[in-house]
Amino acid sequence: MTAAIILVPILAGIATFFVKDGRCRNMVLVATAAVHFLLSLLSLFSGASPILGGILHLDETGHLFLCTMSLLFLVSSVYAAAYMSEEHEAHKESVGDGVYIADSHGRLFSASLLIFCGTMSLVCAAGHLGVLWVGIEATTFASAPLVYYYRTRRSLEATWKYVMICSVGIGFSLIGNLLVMVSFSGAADGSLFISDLKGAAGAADSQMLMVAFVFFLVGYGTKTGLAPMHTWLPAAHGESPAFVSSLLSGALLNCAFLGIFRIHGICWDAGIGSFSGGLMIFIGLLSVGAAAFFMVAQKDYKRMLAYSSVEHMGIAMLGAGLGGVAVIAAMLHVINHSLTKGMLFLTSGNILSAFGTRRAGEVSGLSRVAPETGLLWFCGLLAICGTPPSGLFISEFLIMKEMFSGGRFLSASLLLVFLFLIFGVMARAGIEMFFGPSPEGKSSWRESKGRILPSLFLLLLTVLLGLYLPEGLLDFLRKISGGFQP
Amino acid sequence: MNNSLQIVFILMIVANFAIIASSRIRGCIKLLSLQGVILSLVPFSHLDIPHALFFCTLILVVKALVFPALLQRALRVVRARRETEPIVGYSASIMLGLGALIFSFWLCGRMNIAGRGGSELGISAAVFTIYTGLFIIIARVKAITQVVGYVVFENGIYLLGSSLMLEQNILVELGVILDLLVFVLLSGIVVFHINKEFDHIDTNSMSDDGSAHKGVLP
Repeated sequence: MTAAIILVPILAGIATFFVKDGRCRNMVLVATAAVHFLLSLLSLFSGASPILGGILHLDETGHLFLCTMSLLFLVSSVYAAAYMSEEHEAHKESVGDGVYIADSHGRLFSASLLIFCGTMSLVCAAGHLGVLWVGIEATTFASAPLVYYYRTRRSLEATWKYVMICSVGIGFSLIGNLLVMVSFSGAADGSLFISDLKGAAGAADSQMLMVAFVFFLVGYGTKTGLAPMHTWLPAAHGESPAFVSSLLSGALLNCAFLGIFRIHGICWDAGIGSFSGGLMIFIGLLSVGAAAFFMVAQKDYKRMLAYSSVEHMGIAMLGAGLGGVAVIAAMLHVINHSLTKGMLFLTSGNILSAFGTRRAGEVSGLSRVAPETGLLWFCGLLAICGTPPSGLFISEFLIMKEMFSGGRFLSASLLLVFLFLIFGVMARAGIEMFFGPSPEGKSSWRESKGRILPSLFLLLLTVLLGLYLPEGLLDFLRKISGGFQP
Repeated sequence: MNNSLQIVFILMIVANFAIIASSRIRGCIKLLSLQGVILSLVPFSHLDIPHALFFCTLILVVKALVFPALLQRALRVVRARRETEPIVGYSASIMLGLGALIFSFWLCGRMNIAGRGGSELGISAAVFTIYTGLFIIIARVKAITQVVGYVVFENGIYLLGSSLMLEQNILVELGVILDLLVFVLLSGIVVFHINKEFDHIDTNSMSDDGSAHKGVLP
């Protein structure tokens, strides 16, 4: 089962590379995404046993991240299919635009998209730190062609930045892996299996493990988009097409987050949880602050969303660092952020198609030009700021409550100030773009079902999670946070 | 055995200085290949002969032959000869490198790694190699030179692992090499595209095309 979850998308990806017909490729994409989602659900409910001697082991945390990723992938690929077929039509009329999507290029794109899904599944299923590392590095390579989809100079620059910065970051976490081996050389005999490490954590060389954690935090933190290593993120998210941004933000960042979370679990068992947690709280708060700072001056609405991802990854990191109940909140936050941000990026693709610009100042009157898109955008922006009944409200509230009850008044008040600032920026963008006067002579944009329903579905899901938390999900989250009892 | 290993580490340090000081990209790639050859001797220090032979061959083929060949090919196509206007000048680079070398020795002395069974000279050389790689990525503007820097960085990490006398997991090691291979291939492709789009491969001036929002669909 676990092997199928990883191999199905990769094999399908390789197969689509040889399919010439665009419509056929889109069908394969959506069908594979559906199969992947079903397999993930099946594995979630039936429970997966470790395979390959424990190298691949889907535990509760892995399942949670896998299912979130798989759902978002399914929704994004439905959108992608609609987007690519429409764009193909549009380009039959205006081929001279310089951004014509060649057929061979489309093949590479569909293949990379599916392989990207497979590598992310590998990260979720990894039960071995080395395999986790290989998986996270592989996601960079699988997604690089996706960032370069439009083949413009700016997307080229974004791709270069993305590959270079993330690879150096991942190199740092390789050093982290080596140092973990050193710190466990007496206790676990150099093994990198997560279960072995957690079992032998008590006998580890804690000083060396601290150094290792710092390397992991910087390395995987680069990929998670934590400040100050986030510089690749706005460029890559801004330049890639909507459904790729949605996957990068809602699924890829989570995978890197999972990497840090796994190491944090090992540190917690080794008795240095307060050190690793403290660092995570610090860097989380720094990320929220940096995001607030950069968002105020941001004129590009896709980049604004990208900075918002920095913010939310920071909040999740903060929650995970606090330990105890806050870990439940952090996991909830990760799920809700994936759904909401995925939805917002998909909607931003519609706005880009309707207005042809990414400058927030040039987009106004969405309520008349594209009413459904506009409404989704407005509600989505409110939801991402944690306005009730969005699911993000509950997770942010819980984290805040844990901070106050833990006596962290200064950091909690700082967090509140940053969140308030971000709310202001988001609300202004939402109101101006939605209610502002529509530009003269701007005809309304045809909104097809394939580009509205995916966003609507994700938005409803977030609201649902805000109003009602199923007992099953809560039990599941309790099991994850069980490893982080103070 | 131990003495010859020390020579390998010292050769690594010398190769790093040569890479820092070389202004011609072709020379840089040749030095990278040389560093691959030196690195391929390292596995004999702590592995049994069959394993060491396996890793030695792997490193020789990938780092001393395949990477330089790929990079030379990329260089032929983009016709860049030398690193014009590096961010940090060459003499300053060497001085900084000297400082970093001293720092690496100081750091390894502080960390008392030798007590854990590692080789102190090896670890200092590894830290210095990692520094060299990162420095090249930051201080040079040509895309190809930055790829060279990244490979040097990875060489340093490999040397670090070996000097810490860690058992190597073949699966993970293969994964690392494969990832590195894909990185070089991918960055090679991106370099081609950068050259095609901009007629140069200076990563510093990629955004200076004066068209802030040009080319955004539709």
